[in-house]
Amino acid sequence: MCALCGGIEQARHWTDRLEATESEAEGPAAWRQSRQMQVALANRILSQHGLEVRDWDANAFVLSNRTGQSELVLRLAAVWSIAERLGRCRCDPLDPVLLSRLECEEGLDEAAT
Amino acid sequence: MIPVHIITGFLGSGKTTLLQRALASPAFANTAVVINEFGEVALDHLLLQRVDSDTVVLQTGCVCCTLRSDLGTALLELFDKRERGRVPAFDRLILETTGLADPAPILFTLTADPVLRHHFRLGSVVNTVDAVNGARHLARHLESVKQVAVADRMVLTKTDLVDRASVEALRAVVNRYNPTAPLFETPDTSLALDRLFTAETFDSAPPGGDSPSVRGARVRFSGACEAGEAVDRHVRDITSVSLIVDVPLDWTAFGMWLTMLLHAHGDDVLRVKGILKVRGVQTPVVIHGIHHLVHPPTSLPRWPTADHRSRLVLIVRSLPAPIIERSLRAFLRLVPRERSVA
Repeated sequence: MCALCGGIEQARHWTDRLEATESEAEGPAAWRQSRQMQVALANRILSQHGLEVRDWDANAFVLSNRTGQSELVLRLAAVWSIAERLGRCRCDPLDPVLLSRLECEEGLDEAAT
Repeated sequence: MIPVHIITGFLGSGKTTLLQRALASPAFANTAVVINEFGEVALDHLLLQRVDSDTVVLQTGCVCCTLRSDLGTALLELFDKRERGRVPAFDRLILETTGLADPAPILFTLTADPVLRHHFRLGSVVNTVDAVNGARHLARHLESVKQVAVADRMVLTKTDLVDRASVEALRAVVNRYNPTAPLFETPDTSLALDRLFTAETFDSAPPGGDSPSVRGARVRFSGACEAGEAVDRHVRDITSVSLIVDVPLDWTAFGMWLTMLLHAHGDDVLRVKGILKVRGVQTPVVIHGIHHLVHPPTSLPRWPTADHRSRLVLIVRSLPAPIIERSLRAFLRLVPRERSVA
């Protein structure tokens, strides 16, 4: 636990930024940058259910629904089950509705596929 | 970290014979053994010629979810004895499962237990398949298919008891369920045990052979058991899906996709195995997963072949391969290629 902020240090999760990743940012900056990307992607997926993910001090995530209900989520992998409860929805990457929406979104990189 | 190699295989498929052979080899002198038994009387350990203080016999039956603590306790006790000098300082551990064991909970135990994972690491999962009865087992018993699905190495045993055509037919069936695991055969006196029990568990052979050059993800193979037997419905719907991505993967998008897939369908994802070219990472990243659990990714020092594309194999039950491919592609497209941070 951090003596200053009280945050509990989490063990690394496999979805976290790989240590071997080369980038312009280093150390905590690179970590925060990758967390921001996780949050951005999660929000693109969960927005259809009225859910929002926020980073909580680069140590956890806060998941909220439209009525203001919020829950702290330690791991990205745990976001989906809590999202299903708060959003009363199903988080399934094979859901044709989700896929159609993602495929139609602007800003996708056509060259990557 | 002590590698834990696991021998799985259906009843009577030759697990103990393989273990005996390994223990007889001087190269395996510093090997501890844990035997999991099914039934009230442990029999297999009596067949082992060298049962000593390095051997632990679990007598609580099939290793399943409810008995993981038994396995964990046994491993920790063995490690404790090693540290105290009460048993030789073994540098390798082999766990022989029962013929009916679903190997997934064993792997969970090794990776999820906060103490175990600091002392032990998963070695290779070696699965024995009986050339005489293997096709029948695969057609009728989900456990047998699961054992094939999670294997890193497979040994076809008793190949001298059937004709060559039967062996080849079995190889084809096994390969459909697990296209990435190398196949060995016994009896073969030249069988290289060090290639079976190795920490390096991703092999070079790309699944499915050649296919047209693809961009993005593409299904390479999907097949079900056609063993010529009456196929059990639980087995019939299991397929192997191989995906190739020829542009560097964004790790964040990939993690988002896989965690969500395992959240929604983890019970039906028997195995995930891949060697990945990740954006911003020079070396290939190897990933392994079984059901809901994904092992911490590791890096290989170099690519095993000249093919540097990401290859991901999923062994799934009742999940449509084209939708899996479409889903991965959609998630990977969420992140522009020029993004500099993975």
